[in-house]
Amino acid sequence: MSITRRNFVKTSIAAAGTAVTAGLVGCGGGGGQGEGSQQAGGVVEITIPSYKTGENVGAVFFEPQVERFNEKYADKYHITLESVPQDGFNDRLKQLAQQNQLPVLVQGGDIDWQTDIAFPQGLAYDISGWLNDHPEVKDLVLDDALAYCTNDDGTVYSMPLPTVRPTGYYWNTAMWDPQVDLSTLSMDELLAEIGDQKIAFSTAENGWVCSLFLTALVAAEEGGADWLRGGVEEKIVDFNQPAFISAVTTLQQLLQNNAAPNSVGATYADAENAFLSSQAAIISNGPWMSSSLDEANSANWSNGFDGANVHAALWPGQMGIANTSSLGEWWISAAASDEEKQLAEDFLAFVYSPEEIEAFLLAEGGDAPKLTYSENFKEEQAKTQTLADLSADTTAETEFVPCILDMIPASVANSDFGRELPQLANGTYTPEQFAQALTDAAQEASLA
Amino acid sequence: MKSVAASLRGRRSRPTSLERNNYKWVYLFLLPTLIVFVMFYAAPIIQVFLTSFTTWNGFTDPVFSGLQNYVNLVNSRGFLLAMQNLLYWSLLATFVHVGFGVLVAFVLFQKPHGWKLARAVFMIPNVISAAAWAMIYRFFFNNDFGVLNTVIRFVIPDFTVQWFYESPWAFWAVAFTWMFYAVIVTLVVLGDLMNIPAELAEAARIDGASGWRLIRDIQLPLCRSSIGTSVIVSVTARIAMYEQIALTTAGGPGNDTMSLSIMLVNGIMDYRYGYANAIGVVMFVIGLVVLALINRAFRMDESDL
Repeated sequence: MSITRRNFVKTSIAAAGTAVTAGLVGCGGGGGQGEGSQQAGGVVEITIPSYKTGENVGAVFFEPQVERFNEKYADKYHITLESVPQDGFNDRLKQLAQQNQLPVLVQGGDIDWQTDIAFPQGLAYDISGWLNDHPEVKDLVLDDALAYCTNDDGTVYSMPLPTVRPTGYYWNTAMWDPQVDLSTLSMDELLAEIGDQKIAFSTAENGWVCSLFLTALVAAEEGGADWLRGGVEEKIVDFNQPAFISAVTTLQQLLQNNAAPNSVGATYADAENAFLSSQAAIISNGPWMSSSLDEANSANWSNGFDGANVHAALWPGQMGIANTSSLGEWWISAAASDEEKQLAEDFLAFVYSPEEIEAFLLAEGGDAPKLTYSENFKEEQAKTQTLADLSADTTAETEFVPCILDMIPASVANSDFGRELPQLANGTYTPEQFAQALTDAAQEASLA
Repeated sequence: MKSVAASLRGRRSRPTSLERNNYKWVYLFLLPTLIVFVMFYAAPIIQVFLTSFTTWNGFTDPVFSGLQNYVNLVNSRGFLLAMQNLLYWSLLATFVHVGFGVLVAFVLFQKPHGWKLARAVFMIPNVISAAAWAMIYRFFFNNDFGVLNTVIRFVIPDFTVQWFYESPWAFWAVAFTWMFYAVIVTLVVLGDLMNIPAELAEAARIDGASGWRLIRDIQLPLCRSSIGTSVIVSVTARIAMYEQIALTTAGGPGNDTMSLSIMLVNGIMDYRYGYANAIGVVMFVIGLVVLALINRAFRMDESDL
């Protein structure tokens, strides 16, 4: 059968159109990113998606850390980072999991997704055997974290954390300079000492800064700390508890009498800005805030603020806000090859080496309770006032309680909590009504 | 004698061999579009419908649960307020948003001095994303340093309102983030106005019509189709509206500015994909009903020209 010129043109156009369509719908196949390895000259190479890249604050430490690993194992391994925005990072991991394209090393992800879906579905590699073979690593991880990450059958999927980064509070001594030893005060005495000083709060996004203060207030109530810890095993869905309502009553008073200007509707950045511009004397935050107080970031200061004037402390009763019963930052994909698993394990051993842990603590703050610090580390840490303050407060007697936002259903933490806070601040809600509103929301979110 | 129309009909019912030969090419050329449509539209929509009747966390196999998701949705705290808000925002979209856009189109159609510059300036907000507008409005409505309250305090020094965080202002504050940005409406209607044959206006003027009469009896009716299209676009945008709410009030205070889209995202956060898809189905059905009603109200399939 002869092909006429017209048919040939039509066929060509149709074929081109079909090829374009095939390209559009992804028939091209090919490997996704973040998964597989290449072995060039015996070097195992992997790519891992991470949000700690580029302009992300975590990149300052993490990117050089990966480079140090690459240099140390130049003849064996190479890790390339794929930059993923933090906002969409957890969704990206879920998407990769659905496509069976998980990276060899997985940098966490949504906690509920890990515990309820990824691990039960067999997506993670059991590292319990490796941990037992490496006591130098296992001995550094937090006991609570190891217990939490160890399943009933002894398997361990998420690498338990070696560090804790407790949240306390920061104050600007140029605005508020208490003449008492704050560590000896009860919560009521601390609040009395604060008086009418302005406190930075945020209610927008998920009301993070408010949630930290509320967590401290709940933990200071009788039975409050245990009630919060109960959320580790099963999310809290009933807020009609005396400890919670009493804490909310105090929070409401603080929001109405002590909140810095623009606190209602403020994001975390707004709250931090209120502190860095001397509009608030106090803010609740974690050790990561120390970088904002460094002279190198003084461009963000205003109204005479000076980071050198800032001190930090854990909450009364030597209480720090941190969830030690939690998953770690890393886990390994079960689909990885043996070479890739070896790379992943060596990477974890590298990250959990004393030198790297100390470097991390100096860069981002926190404490490694089971690590014996080097003298050099102690000297370096003492140079950053707030890190030294928090480290001094973190002792064997320190009690840790999880942030309330981590103990309640995700939609309540990310949406309802911040949405209801303005009602509490402007007096539309009583503390009891606030508790009931959260209870209703949490119970609704817990339906199948 | 057979009429011309009958002759044409007869010809259409019996395609020539050349036409029959061309059909396979027509279908072949349609194939890429059909594949894309099935993969990216039809299949997901069918999946959303099917899984809305299941309990599903997005990863494990869905378990059939009948109408439970729909029952949960109707019984949820935010549903009635979300539907009420949708109704009110749709009315605002229809009468204020589209009305304002049509008004601007008619003003521009008169080609007053500087109308091209005015049209360009009116376009500017359209190149700014809804999310950016929401952030701008958060500053505009800020109680402490927002433009609005600062101006009001010149008259009432003690004035204080948290527009996005107090009832009933939050509803209106959210509405203001989109209500007067109607450039699409203006452009669509202006295009229709410019296509009205000059002879029609001339004839009307000869018959004594001028000014408002010309607009009411000639130009507005002839823009019916474009105004109907604008109403469809505006109301369906309200059904899908998410950024303007999520970045300002997140549905609050309480549930004052709740929307189905916010509820859907909250459902996904809690891994209630079946429930979230039930909300998606409700939004889809509302969209279809709105489409049908507006098509009928504006007689979109009829032409006056």
